[in-house]
Amino acid sequence: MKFNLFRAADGTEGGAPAGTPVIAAPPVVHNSTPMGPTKIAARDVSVFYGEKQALFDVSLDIPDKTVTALIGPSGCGKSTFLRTMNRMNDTIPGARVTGRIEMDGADINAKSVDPVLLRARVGMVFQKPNPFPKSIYENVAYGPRIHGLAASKGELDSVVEASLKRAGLWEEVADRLHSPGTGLSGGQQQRLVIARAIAVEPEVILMDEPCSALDPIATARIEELIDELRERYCIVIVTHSMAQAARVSQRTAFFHLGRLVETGDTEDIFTNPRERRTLDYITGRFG
Amino acid sequence: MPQHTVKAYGDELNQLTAEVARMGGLAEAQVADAVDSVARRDVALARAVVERDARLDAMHRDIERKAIRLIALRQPVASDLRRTLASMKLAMDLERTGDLAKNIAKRGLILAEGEPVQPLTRSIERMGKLVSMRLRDVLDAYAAAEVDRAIAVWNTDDEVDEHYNALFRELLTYMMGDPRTITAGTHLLFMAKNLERIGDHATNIAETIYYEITGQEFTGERPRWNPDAAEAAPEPPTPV
Amino acid sequence: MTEPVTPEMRAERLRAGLKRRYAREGRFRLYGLLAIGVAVGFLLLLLGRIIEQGHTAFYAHTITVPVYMDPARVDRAYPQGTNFELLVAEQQLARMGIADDAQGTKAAAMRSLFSSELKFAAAARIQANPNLVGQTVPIAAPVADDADLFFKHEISRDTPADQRRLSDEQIDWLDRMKASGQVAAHFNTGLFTKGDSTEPELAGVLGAVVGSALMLLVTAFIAIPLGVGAALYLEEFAPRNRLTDLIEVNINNLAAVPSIIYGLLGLALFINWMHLPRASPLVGGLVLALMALPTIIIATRSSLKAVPPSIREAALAMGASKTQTVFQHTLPLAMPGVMTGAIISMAHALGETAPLLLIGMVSFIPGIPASLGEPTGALPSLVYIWENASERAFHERTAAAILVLLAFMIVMNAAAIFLRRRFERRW
Repeated sequence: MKFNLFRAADGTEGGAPAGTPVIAAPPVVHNSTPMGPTKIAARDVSVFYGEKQALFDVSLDIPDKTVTALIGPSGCGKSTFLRTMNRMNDTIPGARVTGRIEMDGADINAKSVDPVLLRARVGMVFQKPNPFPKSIYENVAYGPRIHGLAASKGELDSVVEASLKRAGLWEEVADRLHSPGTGLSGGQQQRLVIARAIAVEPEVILMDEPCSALDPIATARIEELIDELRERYCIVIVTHSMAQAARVSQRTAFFHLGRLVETGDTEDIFTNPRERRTLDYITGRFG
Repeated sequence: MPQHTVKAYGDELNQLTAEVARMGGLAEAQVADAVDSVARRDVALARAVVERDARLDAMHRDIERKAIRLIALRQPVASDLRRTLASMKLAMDLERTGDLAKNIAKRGLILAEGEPVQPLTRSIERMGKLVSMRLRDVLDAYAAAEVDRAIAVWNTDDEVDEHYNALFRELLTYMMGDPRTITAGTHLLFMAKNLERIGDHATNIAETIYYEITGQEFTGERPRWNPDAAEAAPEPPTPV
Repeated sequence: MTEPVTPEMRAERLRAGLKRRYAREGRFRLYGLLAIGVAVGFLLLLLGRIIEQGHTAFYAHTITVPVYMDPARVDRAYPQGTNFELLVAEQQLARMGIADDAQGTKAAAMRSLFSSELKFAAAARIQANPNLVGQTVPIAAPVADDADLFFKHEISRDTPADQRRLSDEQIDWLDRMKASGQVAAHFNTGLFTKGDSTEPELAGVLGAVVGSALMLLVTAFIAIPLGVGAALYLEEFAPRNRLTDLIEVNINNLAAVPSIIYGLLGLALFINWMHLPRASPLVGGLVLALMALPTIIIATRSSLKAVPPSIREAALAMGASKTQTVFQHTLPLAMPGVMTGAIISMAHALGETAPLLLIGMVSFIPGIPASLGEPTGALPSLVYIWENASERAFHERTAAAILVLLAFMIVMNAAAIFLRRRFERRW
C-alpha cells in the first residue's frame, strides 16, 4: 500500500512540481447509507402492567435505514418500549399502553389496525434464539406461508433462499435445509431467526438483546449482519452492552427508571453526552 | 491477517491509516518544496508552501477526531489500539514537520530579497535532501508496515546531526568572516535547526512505527526485530 | 470466648461431617431399595398367584368319540331333534363293556362327562352330510368342565368321595378313556373365540373383549375431543377470572370422585331419563367418558403449560394469530403429553368395574355384541361374574380373564410410552 502521491511523473526525488498536489480518493467505507426519514414516532407513550407503570411519557423518533440502540440499566423500560412498537404487550394480560405511536404517520394502536398485520411489517428477534422445532426450510417459510406471500412452491423456495443468503446463513445450511432448526449452534440459530423475520419483508426489525446468549465470534457476525441489514430496514436494538450499542448503532437512546433521559447520535452520546445521568451510566459511575 | 468480522470497523481503521499516509505525503512535499524554494530562490513556491500548511493543520484535526471516534465507538484493543494511537502520534509529528517546513519557506522568502549566498544554500540543500529522504523512507516504512526500514531510518539519525554540526560551524565561520552575511546566516542557522528538528520528527515516527508493529516500546537498546531468525540489527548509537 | 477456627480444625470438622453425611445417604438409599423391594415383591406375589391359578385355563381337553349314527334314532331331516347325548353315552358304555341299570343312571353319569357341544357338533355333521346316517362318525368335542378339571389334576381320588364332584366310577371311566387315546389336550382357543356361557368349558372372553373395545371406542370418541378442546380453551383462550378459576377447581375435584358415583349418574341420566339401552356399549362408553374427561383435561393442560413461552412469542411476533399459534405450534408441541394422558385415561377406563355394574353389565350375556345398542359384557364385569359363578372350573377362567385384562393394560401403557418417546421433540 504505497502512497507515493507526491512524486513527479518522471520519478525525480524532491522535485515535486509546484501547485496543488493530487490527493487520491480515500477508500470507500463499508455501508455509508445515510439516515432515512423518521419511520416510527412515539409521543408521550406510557405503559402500565396492571397498577404498576413501567414507562413514563416517552417521546422518541426512530429514523429509517438506521440502527437505533436503546440502552439503560436493568428494569429501565427499554424492552417494554421495544415491545410497544409491534404491540407484543397486547399479549400480556393486564398491560395497557397510552400515548401515540405512529409508523409512517399512522397510529399503530388504532382500533382499525390488526396487530397480526402490524407484526408482518415489524419483525422481532428475541434474546434466546427460538427457532420453531421444525426444519430450517419450514422455519423460514413459516411467515410467508401464514401471510400468503408466496404464490407457488418455487416462489417460496426463492424467498427462503434469499432470506437465508441475506442473513448470512445460506452457505452453511444449503445442503441440509430439511434438518431441524434446533440442531444448529447458538449463533446459527440466531441468524436463522433473523432470516425467518426478514422472510416476510418487514419494514422494521426489533431486536431484544440478540447477542446476549452468544459467544464473541457469533456476536461479531451478528453485528456485521445488522450493519448490512441497515441498508434495507429500520432496526431498533435493545442491548445491555454499551460497547455493543457504540459499535452497532447510529442513534442511541438512554432510558432510566422508565423514562427517556437522552437521545442523540451515537458518536455524540459516547464522546460527550449532554445529561449527567447518561455520562454516569456510560462511564460506569452508576449506583 | 484476516479481515475484521465487522467490515465497517476494518474500513474505518484503513481509512485512518490512509489519511495519515496522505498527510505524510503532503508533509514530505512541503519539506521538499521548502528546501527547493530556498535553493532556487523561488518566491512563488515558497508562498505556496506557506499557504498549504493550513491543509496540514486541517488534516491533523481530522485525524484526531477520527481516532477519538474510533476509540469511543469501536473499543479497539491490541494491534488495532496501537494503530489508532500511532495514527494520532504520527499526525502530530507530521503537523509539526509541516510547521517547520513553513518556517523554512518563510525564511526563504526573506533570503530571496537579499543577495544570494550560494555555497551556504547548497549546504542547506544537501541537508534538506537527506532529511527529505529520511522522511520519505520512514513514511514508506509506515505505508508498507515494514519495521526493518523504520529501524534503518532510526539508525541514521546521527547523520542529520553530523550535517547540522558541520553546517553550524560553516555558518559561524562565514558570519565571522563577513558581518554583512550575519542576517542571511542567522536565517540559514534557523533553517538548519528546523531541518534538524524535522530529522528528529522522522526518528520519532520511526519509533512510533516500531511500537505499532511490535507492541514494544523503543528503548534505544539493541532492537531485536525478527521473530523467525536471531538476526539482529546493528547496534544503534544513543540518540541525541 | 471461643478460639478462632484454624484451617486444620476446619478440615477436621469437614471430614467428620462428611462421614455422617455419607452414612445418612447410605441409609436413605437402603430405605429406598427396601421400599422398592417390598413393592416389587408384592407385585410378583400377586402376579404369581394369578398366573398359578390361571395358566391351566389356557389348555383344555377334547375327546373324540366314534358315534354310530343309528338310523333308528337319527332323523336325517331333523338331526337336531336327536338326543345325541344319550346316544353317545350309551354307545360309550357299550364300548367299554359296562352294563347299565334300568333307570339308566350310568348313562346319565357318562353323559355328564361330555359337554353339550357334542350334540351340536354331531347335529351339524349330519346336517352337512345327511348320508352319514348309518355310518360311524368320529365326533370331537370338549370334555365337561369337571372331567377337564380331573385331567388337569384339580380333582383327585384323595379327597373323600362325598366332597368330590366326580364319583369313583366316573373317574375310572375317565382313566380308561384317556388310556384308550381318545383324549387330547390342546390350546384352549375357545377361551378367546367364544362368548360367555353357563358351561365353563365353552366359556370365552371374546364377547367381553369386544364389548370393552366398543365401549372404549365410544369413550375415546367422546372424551378425547371434548377433553382436549376444553383444556385448550381453558388454557389458551379463556380469560383469567373467578369463573375460570371455579371451573378449574371443579375439574380437579371431579378427577377424584369415586367411579361408582359416575355409575349412579349414568343410571339416573342415561338409562332412566334418556332411556338409552341398558348395559349397552353406548351407555358404558358415555359413563366412562364422563369419568375420563377430568383426567384428560388435567393432563392436556399441563402439557400445554409445559410448552416454552418462547415458541409462542416467536409465533406471535411473526404475525400468527392466537388461533394459529395454538394449533400450529402449541398443540403439536404438547402432543406427546396429550397422547400419553389420553391413552392412560383410556387404560384406566378399561379397568373400571363399579360404574359398569350399576348400569347393568352384571348379567350373563352370551354371544358377541354386534352394535352399540345391544346389551354386552365387559372384561371387568366378566371377571366379577365368573368369580361369583358356582362351577369350580370358573376359578381358573377368572384368573385367565384377569390375565387378559392385565395384558390389555400393559399393551396400552406400553403404547403410551412408545408414542411419547417417539414424538418427544427437543427444543
